[in-house]
Amino acid sequence: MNTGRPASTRLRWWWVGGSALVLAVVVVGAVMVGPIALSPADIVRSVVDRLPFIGLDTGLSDRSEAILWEIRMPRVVLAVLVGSMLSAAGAAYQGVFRNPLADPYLLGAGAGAGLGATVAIVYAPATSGWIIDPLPVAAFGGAIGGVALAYALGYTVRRGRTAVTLILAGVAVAAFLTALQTFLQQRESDTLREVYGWILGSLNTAGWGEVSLVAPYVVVCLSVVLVGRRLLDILAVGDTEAGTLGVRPGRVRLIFVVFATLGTAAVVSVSGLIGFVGIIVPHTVRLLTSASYRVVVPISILLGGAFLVLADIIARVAVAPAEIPIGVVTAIIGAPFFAVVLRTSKGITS
Amino acid sequence: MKGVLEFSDIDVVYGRSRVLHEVSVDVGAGEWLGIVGPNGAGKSTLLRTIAGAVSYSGSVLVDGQAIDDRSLKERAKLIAYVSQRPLYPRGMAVFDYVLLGRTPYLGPLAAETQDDIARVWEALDALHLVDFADRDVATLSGGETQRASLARVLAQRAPIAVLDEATASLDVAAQHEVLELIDRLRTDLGITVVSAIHDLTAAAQFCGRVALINEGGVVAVGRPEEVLTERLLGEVFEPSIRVIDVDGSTVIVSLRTEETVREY
Amino acid sequence: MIRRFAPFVVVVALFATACNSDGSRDSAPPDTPTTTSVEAEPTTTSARETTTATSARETTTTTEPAEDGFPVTINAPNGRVTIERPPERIVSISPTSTEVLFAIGAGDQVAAVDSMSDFPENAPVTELSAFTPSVEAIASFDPDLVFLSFDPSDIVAGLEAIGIAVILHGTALTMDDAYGQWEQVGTATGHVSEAAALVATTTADMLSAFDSLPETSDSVTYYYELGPTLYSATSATFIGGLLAPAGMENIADPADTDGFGYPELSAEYIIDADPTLILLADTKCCGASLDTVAQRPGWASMTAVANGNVVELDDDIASRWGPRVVDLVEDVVAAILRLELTNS
Repeated sequence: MNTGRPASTRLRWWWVGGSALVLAVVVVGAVMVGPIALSPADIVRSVVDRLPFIGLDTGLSDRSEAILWEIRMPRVVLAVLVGSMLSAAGAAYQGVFRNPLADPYLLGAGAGAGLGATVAIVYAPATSGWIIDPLPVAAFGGAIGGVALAYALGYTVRRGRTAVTLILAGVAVAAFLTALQTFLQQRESDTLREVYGWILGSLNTAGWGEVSLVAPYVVVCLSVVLVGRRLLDILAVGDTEAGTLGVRPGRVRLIFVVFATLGTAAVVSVSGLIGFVGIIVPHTVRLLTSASYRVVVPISILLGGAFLVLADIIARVAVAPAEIPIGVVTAIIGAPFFAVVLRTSKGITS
Repeated sequence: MKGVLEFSDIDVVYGRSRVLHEVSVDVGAGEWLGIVGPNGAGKSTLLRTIAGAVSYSGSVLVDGQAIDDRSLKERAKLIAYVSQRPLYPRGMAVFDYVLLGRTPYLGPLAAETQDDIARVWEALDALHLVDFADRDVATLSGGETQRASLARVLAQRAPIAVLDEATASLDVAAQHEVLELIDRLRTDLGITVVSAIHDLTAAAQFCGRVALINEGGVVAVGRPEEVLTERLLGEVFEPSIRVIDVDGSTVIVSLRTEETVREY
Repeated sequence: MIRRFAPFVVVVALFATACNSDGSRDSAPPDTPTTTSVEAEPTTTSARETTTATSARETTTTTEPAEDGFPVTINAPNGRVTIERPPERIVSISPTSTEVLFAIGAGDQVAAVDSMSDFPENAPVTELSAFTPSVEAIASFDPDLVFLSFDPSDIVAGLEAIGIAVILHGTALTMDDAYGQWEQVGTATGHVSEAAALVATTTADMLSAFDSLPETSDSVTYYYELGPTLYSATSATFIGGLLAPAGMENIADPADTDGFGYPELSAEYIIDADPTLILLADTKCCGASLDTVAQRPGWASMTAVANGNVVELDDDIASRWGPRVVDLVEDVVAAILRLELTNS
């Protein structure tokens, strides 16, 4: 008689280690690379210099130090946070809705954030007079509002607390909010470029302020999704059978949606609507490792951060010193990805 | 925990139509109750009341206590359920699928213990699935997946197993195998089995107690020889049904005669 | 997802040629001679195509001897337009055209202007949309001449079909293009001499502004910001051409490899380039100012920010090609002069 789980179903340590290594390498690469060439040796010296009790002459000018520490570092950190959060949220949504095409914007978070951002851009443009910048707050609120609306709509259906009903409600809400936003944008067409730029997603103006704004949400929400990941596997057998195994599918779904959406709303509010990450990363992780959410969630967190850092490197460097909006980069990677997955469709797991 | 199950005055309404009407059935510990009846009679619905998937009036009692009074986890330790068309998640290993049966004994955050793992291997062994342990459950054949569901039920260690059409779409041999396995679980472990069965012969041969349901109401409850009679079956299904004894086993078939041809 | 981008691509394409923006410019270099009767193409599908304005010196307006010089025929970018008598009910769906009309004294011939035509203040603003103009809405003002700056959904053809004279003055590529348009406005409205005077004054003012700049060997670099996501305009754009006589170097030029004219820059690059002057054209839309710019991560280390060499331009003036461009030029020149003073 065997003891222990079969090898293939465990979270193998080298998956975790390998992913962490990939993330570390990519992060180091992102710090080293940029439209402005800084010598790696100087960068290392600068990092060491920042450690307590060590003072080094870094050989970087004040301006280069500013570039490194106030522009590049926070941007890389933000990319990790955003990438991990979107990937984990995507995995969570795919799990609770048993749908491989689910992404964090499924229930209207993206459309709501876009509407909120448009409203802020149109009606509160001169933001220098405000204590807090209304744009991220409006985007955040819009994202939460969109999902809340989808839930409310889904619950009005009598026997409708099923996964499918919620998805349909989300599609309806997203379409409605997008229409509102397009209408508003049309009427206030002189703000078009700004809105479009926001929607395409950008880490261009990231600083430590954005990082500190977003980090608490991301840490909390990632923790919840990570800790509860077994429940996603339980939900995979369907609401009815999951209920007889002792979980409440509706409640579990709600909790995951709440925290995945909260985290998504937070990152979207500073980075705009970066698409494809929430779908590509969990699917790729499944292809490489296992379909169990015990594995998919933690590995998606690590590789999701790495993926977005990589995409940001491309965004910064490919047409330097100009930038490509990061949403465009992820879309360029995303479209062929889906083509590949379709061709090897045995690999699609839900 | 003996596993005595009692349905009492169950009424279920979907929209405007009453799907179940004052259904009262009971089954003793360790017995096998087969629920038979035409399509749409309400067999699945009755089972889903135990699973908590449908709202009903009336009461479902396990060992004298209404299941609604128990917590979800307690219910999960009492009743194991396999739905009519189970979802076999793609990419999930058979081992992990059976391990799901241990969920009521773990918190959502707790990892499985060695004890849980041992029970899973036991269940796989009893259902001849040890070699399939790391296969993707969605790639198994019909009979194999049914066995995987039964293994999960076994791992769940519940005194009552509720199976909705455990043998639909299985070939003759696979169906026989699955039914024998279920019966073995029942006799070895004293599990009470409640299953919806479309195959009347299987019901006659395996069930100790049968409830015949038609149009949401109970037509008859009792031993197979009392309920599965040509008269009752003829009224509920069609008149060309024959109940035949072959070497001591009961066989129930529908005959094709000139009369029946003319009828259709 | 992709489906979400589609309406925005269309909308941006339309926006790109709206008169209210620094829309995408033709990638042809400014000195390409443009034919006078180029048909304005509908631009709903391509963000790059734009109407090409007539080059000033190639305008031929044939006047036949009659009262006030009318009837006139103008070679507008949308074809030959004949105007029988001085128009009394002009409708302008182009803020630039509105400014020009009033500047040449044709203001009392204007019946209605679009919702974005906010200068001068006494212009008869209506709800007409510059962005999605409708033939019926325009026609309801019973106009005898309509000015547009771009042509969504064939509105020019629609107006011509009901017998309304239309002049399509699209985004100017150079000041010469703009002057040519102003002169056509003058001809069309019976204010030929006023228009000529306006052109002359503007040319003179700009010349004197640039002349006040000393010859120095320091090369001044500048960063021109169109939006808070660091969209910039290169020297190949209208604005770039406008400021060219100042002899400054635009830091966005190396970033614009495909000549599109409006690259989005990265913060690192801007900081490293450390431009001498920062010109903000997103003050009204997006609240950009010396203060907000100084708060951006890393920007406080830039010399321009530290020394206050940040010019807050008026978005509207910066995105139009009317007579107020002189104000913009003078503001920039003043800023350069302040630099020289502090440097010497």
